[in-house]
Amino acid sequence: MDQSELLKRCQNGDELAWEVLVRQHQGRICSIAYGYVGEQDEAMDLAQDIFVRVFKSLHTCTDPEKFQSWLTRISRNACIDHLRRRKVRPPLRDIPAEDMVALASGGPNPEDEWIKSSRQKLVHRALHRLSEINREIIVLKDIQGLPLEDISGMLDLPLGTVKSRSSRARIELARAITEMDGGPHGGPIGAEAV
Amino acid sequence: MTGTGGGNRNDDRERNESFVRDVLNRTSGSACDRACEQLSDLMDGNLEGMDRQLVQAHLEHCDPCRTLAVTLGWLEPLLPQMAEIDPGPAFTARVLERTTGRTRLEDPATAVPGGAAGLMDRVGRWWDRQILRPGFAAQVAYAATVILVLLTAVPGAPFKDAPGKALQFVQAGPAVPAVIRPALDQASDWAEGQTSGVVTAARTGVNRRWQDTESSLDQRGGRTAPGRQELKVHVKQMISQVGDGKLGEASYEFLAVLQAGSRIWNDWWNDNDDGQE
Repeated sequence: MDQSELLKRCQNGDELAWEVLVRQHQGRICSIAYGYVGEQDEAMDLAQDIFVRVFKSLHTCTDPEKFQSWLTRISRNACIDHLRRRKVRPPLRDIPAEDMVALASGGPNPEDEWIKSSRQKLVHRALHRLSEINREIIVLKDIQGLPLEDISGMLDLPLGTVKSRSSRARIELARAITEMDGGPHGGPIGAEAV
Repeated sequence: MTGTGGGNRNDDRERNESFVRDVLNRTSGSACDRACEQLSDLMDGNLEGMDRQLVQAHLEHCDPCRTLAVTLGWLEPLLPQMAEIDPGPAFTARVLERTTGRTRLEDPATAVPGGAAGLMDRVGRWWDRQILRPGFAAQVAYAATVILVLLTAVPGAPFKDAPGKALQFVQAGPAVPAVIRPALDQASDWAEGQTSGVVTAARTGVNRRWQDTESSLDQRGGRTAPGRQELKVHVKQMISQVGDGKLGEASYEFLAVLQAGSRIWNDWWNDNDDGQE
């Protein structure tokens, strides 16, 4: 489907086009929200708010080629705003990133799936031990696969800084995971299960 | 003898490692930091030649760094797989409802009127959105707890004495007339039995799939829609009449508001009516 045409139709108020657009991007938006807030219900609420914000701002996206980047930028801004509000008004529950809904990309082997799902939960918990900037870099670069140039623009940091921070962020994440998963020798879903 | 030989080899290895550690500590310091700096490049395949060999040699002798490398090894393919999460079909429906169905305020055909009617309309829409949110129940429970604490536990609260009086009533067991005492005991036994039943039922309820809850919410939302519409109309008229100084007519509207509220309450909880509308 032609993304440029799809976006244009959305901007002209075509509800069917908007539905397709929502379906195309909801997985990614939910993942970004979950990466930032680390709690399922809160992330789903936030993802809905992001789509409402996107819907109201559709007319500001003038370059269809950059829609993905525009969408990620809006999502990131919404997440940051949400986290700022949450600092003022703490969440109702603590933030154990437990039991996320069905994670995309299924596989045939239940044991592999269990390991993968457990590791994903572990990663989400570990993400919230990182500094804000390192968490953002992991979410945007390693999970969402955004180009370093885009991330540099979004975070307002020099490209070289983003590049060096990216390596450090991954190491910090791996270190947090090994600490959470039973120290340097790793736990059942960490190092030894490989 | 083999075991002893293996033990000796381990001892030798341990002694060598200890020696190297001591030398490094007294000279350049631990090489772990330097190895960690280069681990990402190693995993990305960007480390070549001597640098690669040096890091690999370090990993052979350093358990913590090796564990870190293994973790990085499985993180690398896992992270991109987390780029999308399936939020379920209900998510799309809610987004569409909140955008094309509800938030097209700029469309003149569905624009919200001004004044009191507009306010009621906006409040109604806000309420509709809130009730469909996943965190709504937890937030209501939180708010109820805060209200309860404010009413009963804060200095100067209107019902500050209520918990104390309730406790006194419970503690005044011997003072309860002898006729009432057996009845209370029976009630206590009955309550105990009911409690276990309630716990079992609650557990079953909690185990229900989210879709069931959501479906129930949708049905309840649908059932209460006429009542809510009616409520909006009467509240609007009541406000208007109060504004015009017609207090007599406003009082009739107030009764109608109460009736509409009662209807919403009944429609919300009366599951027997499901599917009849």
